[in-house]
Amino acid sequence: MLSEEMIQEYIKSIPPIPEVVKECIDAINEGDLVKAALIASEDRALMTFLHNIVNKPIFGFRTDVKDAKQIFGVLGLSKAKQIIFSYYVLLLVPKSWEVFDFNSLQFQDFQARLIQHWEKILNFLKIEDRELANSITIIPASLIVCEMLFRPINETVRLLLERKNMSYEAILEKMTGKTLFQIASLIAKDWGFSQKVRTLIDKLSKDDATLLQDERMVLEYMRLLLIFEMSRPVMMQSGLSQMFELELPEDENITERFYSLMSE
Amino acid sequence: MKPILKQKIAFFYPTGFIDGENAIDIVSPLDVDYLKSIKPEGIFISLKKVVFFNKRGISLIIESLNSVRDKNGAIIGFCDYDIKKYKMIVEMFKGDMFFSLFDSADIVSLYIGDDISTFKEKKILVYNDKHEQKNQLALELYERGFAPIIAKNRADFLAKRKDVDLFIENSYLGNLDKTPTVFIKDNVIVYTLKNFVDSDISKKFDLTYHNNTLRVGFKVFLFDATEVSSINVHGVNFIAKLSIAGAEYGATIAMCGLNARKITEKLTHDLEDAGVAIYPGLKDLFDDEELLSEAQNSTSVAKKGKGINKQLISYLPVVAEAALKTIENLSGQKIKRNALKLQELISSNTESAFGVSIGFYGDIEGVLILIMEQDIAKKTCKILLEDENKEDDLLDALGEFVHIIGGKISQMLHKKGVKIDITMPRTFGSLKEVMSAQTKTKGAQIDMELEGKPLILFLTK
Repeated sequence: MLSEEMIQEYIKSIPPIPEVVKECIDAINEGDLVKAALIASEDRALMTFLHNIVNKPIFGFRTDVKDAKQIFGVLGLSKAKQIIFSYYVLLLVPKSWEVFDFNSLQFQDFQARLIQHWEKILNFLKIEDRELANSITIIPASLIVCEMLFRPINETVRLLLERKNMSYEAILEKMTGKTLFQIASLIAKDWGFSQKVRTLIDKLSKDDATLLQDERMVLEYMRLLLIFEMSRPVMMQSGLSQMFELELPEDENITERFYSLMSE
Repeated sequence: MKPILKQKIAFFYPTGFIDGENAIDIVSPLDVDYLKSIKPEGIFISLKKVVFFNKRGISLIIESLNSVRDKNGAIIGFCDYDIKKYKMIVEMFKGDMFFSLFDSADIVSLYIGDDISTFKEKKILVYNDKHEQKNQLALELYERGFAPIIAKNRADFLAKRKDVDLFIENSYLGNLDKTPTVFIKDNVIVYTLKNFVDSDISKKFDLTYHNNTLRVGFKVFLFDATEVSSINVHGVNFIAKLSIAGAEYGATIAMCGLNARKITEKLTHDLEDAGVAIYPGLKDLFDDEELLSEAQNSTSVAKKGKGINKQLISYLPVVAEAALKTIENLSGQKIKRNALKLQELISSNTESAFGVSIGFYGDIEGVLILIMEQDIAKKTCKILLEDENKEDDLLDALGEFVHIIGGKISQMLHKKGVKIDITMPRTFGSLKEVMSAQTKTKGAQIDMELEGKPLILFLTK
């Protein structure tokens, strides 16, 4: 059985943001990509991550982007920040996954796809809010939270899922009263994300009429993006497609528009 | 994606988008092999959590399901959709729809599978824009023992809809011509036979299912031959053998719907000689109070091989650990373990306590019974409950809960090289029902406490 205490303990166990990440983000916030590249090039692990992620097919660069300055240059300020945040999320990934049949490389693919698709969506919606752009980077943390929290009761939960059509999130909510996104929102607080982003993530599971129309629209698309990504073969094979309990959009036109956008 | 099995029906619950890229993983080749091995009566894809699908995706799923249907004769299709999704599928496959569509998973269970007890005494209204479909939908229900109301037209449907318990509006019957189908009515297992009954019956009949129902205590089995065109010596021999084998469990095999055009006099005598009770029609059997009372007593677990043996006792620690761990994991409550005794079942629970039994068979055989108070059951099954105030829902949830325990036991024994399968759980709505099922049966009883209230685990053979 999961409990609120276990959630608190897990959040406490998350290590603080490494200095190199902080410095890089500060440089990006100052608008200095050259400085950010210099800082990043000092850290081999960060450079390996940047090289791997930037050269994923989803980003569509035709030649191998190797050098730190080159990497930050092609990414630009907004995406560079998202990728630095993604690096920090990646540091939380367990060496081996037990609950889900997943691995670190697949996790990086997931991060890259979310960033790239989210940018496409925000462009489509004509939204330039950088905070909103960065908010997508916190979502993959919920996969790790789910993996870590469910480990102690994995076998029992698997048997439960063989009998009943439930998501991990629904089980978590019944046991602790918290959704995965509410936990992700708590993590976002520790990472210094703004109240606006934290609120949006907190309310990602279902539509909330108290939010502004624009915010509801953003959440609708974010939900669709997650549902879309969770429908992919790799997510189905890993078991992660059973993770979230997301409210489905009522307006079919939005779904149609979204699918066309993703198919472009 | 692994299906969820519910009363002989396999349900798949995909989420999100279904297109050419991911459809092959919704019902994968591994799933197809699994479905061929477990032989479900129906395989359905729930569209409840699906936001988008295209023809390519649906066609690929149908292709996979067709291979199972061709092998096992399973009924395949989609369920849990709204009117827009229904119209989209009908439009996509018009004139070429060999699969079924049912408004909800509940309606699937109304037409397919063995458990129709949930719909007992319920008022059902049937309507479809297409006259032929409407009649077929209603006819199938009549065959399964329901008396549906048929709406004359849309206006009539809308007027009557508010006065019924269940209405069928956007459903479509594909090919349901499967032999034999099964359902349970008043604790009588009814197998519906169709067309020509010959040696093929031994291939199509689910003997494992039949044997399991015997093990959990069903006593009356009826073969309804109303829709049979004729039955030959091989068909008769098969049913006669079942009757003889069932006698060991005190079970009765009955048959109805036979006449001189379908079966010779000699073969009818052969059936009677094997102990098969012959009734003119379905109604005649359900009018036979003596037989029905025998069927009601069948709520007991199997009487064959009473008691417990050394082999079973040696696995008791595994069984107990699996059960306790699962209860603690899912309820979040600590269990206090008291005495372990070899005795007949003795319970200090109140009369309103619930019970569930589950049988297991394979390398070892036995029956596990769990008894707990209703309020404890509510807490224990919290995760599985949608509406904790309905007693039927609570009993069903407790059944599912014990099935999970059974799965855990199977898993733990497997690690020790012992292979077992488990039966469906059988629920008891009162302590009296449990106790009467276990009269003079010795077993290993573990008395436990959960929040100061008694909880009993009883293992017998």
